[in-house]
Amino acid sequence: MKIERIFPSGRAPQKAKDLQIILKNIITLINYQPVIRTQLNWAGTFRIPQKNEAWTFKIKGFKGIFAISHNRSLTKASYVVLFDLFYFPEKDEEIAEKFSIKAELHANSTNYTEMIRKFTEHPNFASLFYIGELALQFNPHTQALSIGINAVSEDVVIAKNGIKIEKNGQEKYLLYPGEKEQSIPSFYLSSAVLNIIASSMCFLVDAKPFAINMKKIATTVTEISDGKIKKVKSKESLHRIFLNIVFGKDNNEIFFLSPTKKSEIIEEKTWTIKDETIPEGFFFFTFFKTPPVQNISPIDKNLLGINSKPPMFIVTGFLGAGKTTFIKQVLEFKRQKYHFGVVIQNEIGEVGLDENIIDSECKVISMDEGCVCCSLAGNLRKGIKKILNEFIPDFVILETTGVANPLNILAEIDALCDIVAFDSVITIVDALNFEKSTTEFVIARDQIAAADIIIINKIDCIEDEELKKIKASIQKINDKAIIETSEFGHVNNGLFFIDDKLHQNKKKLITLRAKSHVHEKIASLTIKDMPSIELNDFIKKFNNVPTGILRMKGLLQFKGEDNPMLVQYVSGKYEISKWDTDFNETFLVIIGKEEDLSEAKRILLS
Amino acid sequence: MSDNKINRKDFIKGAAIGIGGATIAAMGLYSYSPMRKSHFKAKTRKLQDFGVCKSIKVTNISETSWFDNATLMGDIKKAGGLLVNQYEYNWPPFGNGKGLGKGSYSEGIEKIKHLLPNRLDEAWEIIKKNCINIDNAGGFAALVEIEELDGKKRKFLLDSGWSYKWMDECFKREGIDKMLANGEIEALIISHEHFDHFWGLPVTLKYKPDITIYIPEGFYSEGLSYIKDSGHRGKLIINKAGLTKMTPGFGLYNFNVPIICRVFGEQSMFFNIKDKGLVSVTGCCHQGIIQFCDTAYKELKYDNDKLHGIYGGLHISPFEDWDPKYDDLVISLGNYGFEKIGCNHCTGLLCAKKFIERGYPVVQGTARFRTKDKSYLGNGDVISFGV
Repeated sequence: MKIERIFPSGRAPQKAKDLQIILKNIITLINYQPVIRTQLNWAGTFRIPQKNEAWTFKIKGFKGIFAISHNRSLTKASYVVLFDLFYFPEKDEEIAEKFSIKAELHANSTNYTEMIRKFTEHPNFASLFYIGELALQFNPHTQALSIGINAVSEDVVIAKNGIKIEKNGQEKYLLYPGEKEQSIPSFYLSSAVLNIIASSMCFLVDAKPFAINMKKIATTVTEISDGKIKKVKSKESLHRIFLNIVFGKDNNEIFFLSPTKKSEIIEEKTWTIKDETIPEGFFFFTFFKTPPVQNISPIDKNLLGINSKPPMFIVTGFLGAGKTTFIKQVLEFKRQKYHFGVVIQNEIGEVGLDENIIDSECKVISMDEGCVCCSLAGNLRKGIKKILNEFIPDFVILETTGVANPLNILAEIDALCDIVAFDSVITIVDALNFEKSTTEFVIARDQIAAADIIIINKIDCIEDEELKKIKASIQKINDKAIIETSEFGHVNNGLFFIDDKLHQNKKKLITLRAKSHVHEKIASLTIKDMPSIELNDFIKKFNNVPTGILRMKGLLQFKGEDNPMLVQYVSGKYEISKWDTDFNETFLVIIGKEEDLSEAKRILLS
Repeated sequence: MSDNKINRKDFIKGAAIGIGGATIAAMGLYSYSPMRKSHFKAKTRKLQDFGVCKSIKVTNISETSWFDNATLMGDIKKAGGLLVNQYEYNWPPFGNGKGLGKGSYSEGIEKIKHLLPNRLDEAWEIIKKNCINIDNAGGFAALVEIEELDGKKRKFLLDSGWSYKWMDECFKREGIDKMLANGEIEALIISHEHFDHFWGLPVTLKYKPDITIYIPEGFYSEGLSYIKDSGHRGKLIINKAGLTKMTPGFGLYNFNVPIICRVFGEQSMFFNIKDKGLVSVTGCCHQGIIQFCDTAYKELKYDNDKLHGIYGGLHISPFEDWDPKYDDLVISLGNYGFEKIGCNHCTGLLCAKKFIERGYPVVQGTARFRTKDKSYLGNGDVISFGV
């Protein structure tokens, strides 16, 4: 066991309070490892800012929020620190009904999330969601560290006389006499916390547990009648279970989390973990599957079978819909979380302008000219492999050209599945040009059809009525995708990359099969070394290009300006902005229907 | 009998709006709550008074910690990820010539120790031979000037950057070399042990070897040795977790959190500016803006009870991420009501631009000395509070 990995300065804990720091370090450090974190089912954490440790966190597979908060620290034969555990169910999950009526009412109130985030300030509220106790214990003589929980199999409250309420002048039962008002599966929930913390510990200290000890005693249920509360014997067999996991050799460990009276124990079991054998009934604990990782190098991860293929997102959208802006935001959002990504682009046109627009925070690889979907097996694969070797990114974004058909890409994505984990298709829809692009171009419709997430961009430019119409049209093409809206490509990335929402939505992709390879006759033309020009003249010329021109972009030198300006044109709307880099060659890329290109060039150069 | 019962689900949905209202209270549902043990006491605000000052001025000596993020991340990833000990990367100055991920502090320092802190140019020549990606190293350092109520001014240096070569250039550009040499700067405060904030230490010591140094508790043995090996002859003060009062209106707060690249603990600066409120100055702010502001709110006493200004890396930490609503920094930051905001590049360019778009009081920079954009305060830029 390498305890120095979870404790600073490489010394062993010297007081009970040090164990509090260990818990914080386990949770923090494991969350710096994007792949491992996901592997171990961490799905988000939030540390409550206060002196004693308190966290809220999500575990994959549970809709609600778990919470842990420091209760007390003691020094006996060993150092012990005790934490309280809570589970705040999501209002619509089944388990919510197992909590008390009052708790469930809280779960349905609008300030529920706010209360959870500050649960330590609301003790009465939090106690409704209490599920058990977690203890960390360190024996300074043997250097063994144990993590344990103490929880009941079912935390039952019975309404002896029932609960009546008045409705429309009539007394009605909400609960019949003798019905359970609460039946929280406390042990089940607490063990999920034990599991994730012990698994993380396994990974961080590079050790498997030495032993597991479990003790059961009988427990009571709570009975309420006429405002009186009684503990009564249960008709069912309910238990209080103490489960301790020991790291480091320690045969004589006396667990703090144990029944006070030995005589009460009705069952006790100890498993010594000598090999890979998983004790019966404990197979759901993932830490047995956590390989001891000597050195967290990616190569070892592959050998050990940890899936470290980076997820790949395909971002698609018709020309000028706002793909680049969206991607920039994703990159920044991810970077704040220490997730590093690469973007693969293939824009039509010889000059990879977008490569210069996205700043150096990420690696952008421009693929050869042409449509990604035509060259997937060859170029793209080669490109991705090169990036993976060079940068070991946490994720890959494939930005398709504005005229690529994602259905074609999906058809061939299998060819990449050994190097990246395909995640989802995100389609950016331009609210301003929706009508035109979807009626005139099959590809625009296919982009919508292929999407897991559709973002309607530029809604600031349209009326609410129009937005409703667009949404309805989208749903006709694709009724399974999540639809979000955005202005200037600004979306809340948390919605896509944190929430389970996306993951629940993915299954349908598998059933999608590509249609025949469709190409519209869209082509591009690049004019290099554009002569400098008066701004007003140029705007006039822009307004006169044929309607088949979908997009133009480039760097142009205007008379009276020191440096070239960035010009972007999308279906009748143009934007001219300052351009602060060393890239100073002027050029213009024109994209549109093949037959209109030369006419556009003629007008622009006239 | 079923018509005398209300379905629990229906009841909950119907009553949801009125929690704590008469209907439920009348049901006696609260009756069993008192028997539940209280798991913790509600915490009250316990505010520490650390005095007050008139104004502060922060000069950004260098905030270009490294020049290319893709190169840095590639190195980290290839060396084994974010938890790998930073002294093992073989980054400057601790190179042993064995390549990425195979470095060690002791082998690296052995090659240059005899040249520290005075012969940095010679040291850099050796470093060039033994380290990887030398030119990617930059560094973070800022000069903080505090004006006390009686007009007295005091200067502190926050961090000492990374590359000896780059930092020496930056120190000269801002005149820090002279301020150090003639004793104008009272102390060097190292925010945390990270390479880009701490490894340029000999550059400060070259001009002032006996300067007082403050570090947060949690430095590893390599870091502590480096302070000695760099030729430090002054006082070394290790700040414990929580608040350390420095001068009137100036406190250091050590957030004892583990950080990437095996570093533990980061301390940030807090100032209480007369009649304005609290101002904080951070390097990276790894603990994240939410932890940062909430800690200040809960533990510090400041004028007007107002968060007046902030300068540094503004972001959501990776540990604040289960609730998309709060993950949006642009929205979160708006809630704190800052009157003056200065971002460094850690904030992210788009984020800084969004702050500006939203009309937040962002002080913009000048994009000089290899800083790329004006949306954030870059190298050589200045921000003041209380003037």
